[in-house]
Amino acid sequence: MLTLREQQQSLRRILTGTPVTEASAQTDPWLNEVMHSPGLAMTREIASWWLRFQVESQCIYTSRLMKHMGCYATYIDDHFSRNPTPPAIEELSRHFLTSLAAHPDRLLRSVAAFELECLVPSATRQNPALILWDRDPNHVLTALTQGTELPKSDRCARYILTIGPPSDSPRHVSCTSVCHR
Amino acid sequence: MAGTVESTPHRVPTPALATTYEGMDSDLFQQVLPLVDYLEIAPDSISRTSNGHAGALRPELLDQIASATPHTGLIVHGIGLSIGTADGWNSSYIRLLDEFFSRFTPRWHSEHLGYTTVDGENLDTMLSLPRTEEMLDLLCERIRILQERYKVPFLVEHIIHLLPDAPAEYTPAAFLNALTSRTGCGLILDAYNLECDAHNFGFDIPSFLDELNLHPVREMHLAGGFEHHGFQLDIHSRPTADSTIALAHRILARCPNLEVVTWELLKEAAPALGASITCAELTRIRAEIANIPAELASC
Repeated sequence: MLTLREQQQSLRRILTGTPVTEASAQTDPWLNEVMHSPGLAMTREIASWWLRFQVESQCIYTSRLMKHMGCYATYIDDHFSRNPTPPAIEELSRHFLTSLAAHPDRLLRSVAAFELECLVPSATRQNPALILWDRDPNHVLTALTQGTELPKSDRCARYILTIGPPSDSPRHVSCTSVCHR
Repeated sequence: MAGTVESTPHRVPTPALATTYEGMDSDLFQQVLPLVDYLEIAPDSISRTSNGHAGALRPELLDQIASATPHTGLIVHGIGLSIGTADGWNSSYIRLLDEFFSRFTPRWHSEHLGYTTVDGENLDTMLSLPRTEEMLDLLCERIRILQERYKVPFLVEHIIHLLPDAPAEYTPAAFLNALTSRTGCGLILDAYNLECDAHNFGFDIPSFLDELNLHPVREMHLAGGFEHHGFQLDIHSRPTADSTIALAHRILARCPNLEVVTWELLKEAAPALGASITCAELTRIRAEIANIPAELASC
């Protein structure tokens, strides 16, 4: 007979596709029924929808860019199957955006870094955040907002987006282009 | 609570009408406000990360809520307390509640009878609780703590089931009866959730309602969802189906203390539904709950 805690831990493992290790859980008739129920796949699918909704609502530009790239749903499912979801739903966006810091796509790294920096409360920012872009970030964000075609990588310049001090406004955002030819 | 905004509106002869508030575009907010008596606030949905830690309500949304009172009342409906987690509930949700109650006094607050976290990990879904004596003891103790901490009524809501029920010592109605009688907490009956369970598992709604003590029912939820892979899903994205309205009439006719009917709509679904359909739906529900068919009203 499983304790309540064992029952919930076993169910969590089943939902995340992790092997149930306890011998008592492996032979528990109810858990066995759950594992073979049509509702299990549905529950997993709903969990995936929920994650995607949450991330989309909090990481608007990044999720739109990933949808444009055709990798959003797959990335979410893969990322959160390998990493536990934080208990507070509002921590999701930080985990998700941080995970993209090493993504091979340069534009996606820049957009994710921008949204990650936007999560930092302005009052607590000590130093400016500098984000390097291979194309004009204003044009990128406008295209993502309006659903229009994204600008191509700029062959002649790089752009440095600066968020926060030193300036007279902690929310200050500025952009400078640097010719690299 | 001294220094907070009282949020009980004028008494209405029929059940009051509420709708979900998870942050709202100001145009929609201004259109919805005149149509409802209460806003149903989910603290989880109006919070954000603060200094890397969860647990701060978004001040701009609190200001928007404050602008609605005192003409519009507030009720709180939690998602993330995880009241049934064996190793402890989600304390960050309690911090959100503390913050909310420091500014407002809602008519009541409520939570789902389920769990969303295990060992500190989010399940990304809400699972139903085993109807056992052990779970009942756990819930009663936690409800007692909530009732002592927040001096407004506390209500619980049944959730839908997608997985087979765990071995149980109580029927669904008997479990709720035991919970309300031992704690004095109130109940939310969700007409759409009952329909989902009936569709997905053949849940016997008439028998459930016959067995359930309906006196603690203070609130009813209405929503519209959709079917996917044969399952009717508890995803509040559409106007209420006629069958749900019919069930709502039957519930209204039998619940003597039901004060508020809440039409729930996911924030994510609001843009697709649009302001005109949203407002039309609220107007329709207002009319429906004021006009219980005569044959039911005489029951």
